[in-house]
Amino acid sequence: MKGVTLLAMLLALLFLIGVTFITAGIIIYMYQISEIGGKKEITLTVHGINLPTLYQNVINLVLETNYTDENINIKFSELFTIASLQKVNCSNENNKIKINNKEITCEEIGKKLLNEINNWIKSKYILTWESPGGAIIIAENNPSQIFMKYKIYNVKYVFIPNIDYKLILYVIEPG
Amino acid sequence: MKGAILQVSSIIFMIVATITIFILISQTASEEKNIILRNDYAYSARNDFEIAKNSIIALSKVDSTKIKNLNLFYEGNDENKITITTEKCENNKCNILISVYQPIIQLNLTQRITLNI
Repeated sequence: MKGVTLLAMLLALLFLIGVTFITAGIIIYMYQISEIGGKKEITLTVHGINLPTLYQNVINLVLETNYTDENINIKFSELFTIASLQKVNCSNENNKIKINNKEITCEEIGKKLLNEINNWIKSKYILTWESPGGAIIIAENNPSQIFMKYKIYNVKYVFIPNIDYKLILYVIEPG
Repeated sequence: MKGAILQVSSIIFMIVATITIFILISQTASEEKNIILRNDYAYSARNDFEIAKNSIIALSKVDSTKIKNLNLFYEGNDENKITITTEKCENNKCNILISVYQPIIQLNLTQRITLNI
């Protein structure tokens, strides 16, 4: 066997090994193989794509739950609609929303809302109340996890008819 | 020398085969991405539609007179364009048209809701 032939064979072998590794890497990256009850399932996973539709659902669900205390029982969506009609900007935690001759502070609403959102979101999040007077954080959780890489999703809930008043939920996830 | 030609031809063949495999895999992935993206944008439009609907229902509970003359346009999530118009109010009922247009996938969702005033 001549030297050139041997070199070509060696190159071909190295090339084959390289191709095998790269292909295997791609297949492992793209396909998730899981065994459930002896049944093997292969799913194609595409990385790096998803819109925050889940958090739209969360904010929608949370605002359909009720704010309750000894005097008031009202849906959060109705409560914030009243706040938008009264043009409350929540720039101060002690700013108040008047409901049936009772008053609720932005801080009280924030605390109750935090409990509701915590049922759905485990990642770090911040909920802000936006108004022409500026934005203010009305609820946030403080999980201990720190991500090297992260993504921030934001979804908004706009109040009608004063569309300048809205809630924006920012969720921080590992990226 | 024949052996060398055979080996070089094999390498060329393998390069072509590898490129073909890469193209096929990336095509599958991009098709899958498009399906996922289209689905996500459709869900986003649907969710924004629900948010608008809930917001109008909340307004009707709080101050039903405010729904008589709605004519709003605003941008929701993921570039969704939302239009809310009160069409007519009679016999203590108002017909409200909600439209959500998602420009990226050119999806248009429209629904009329009737609310008591």
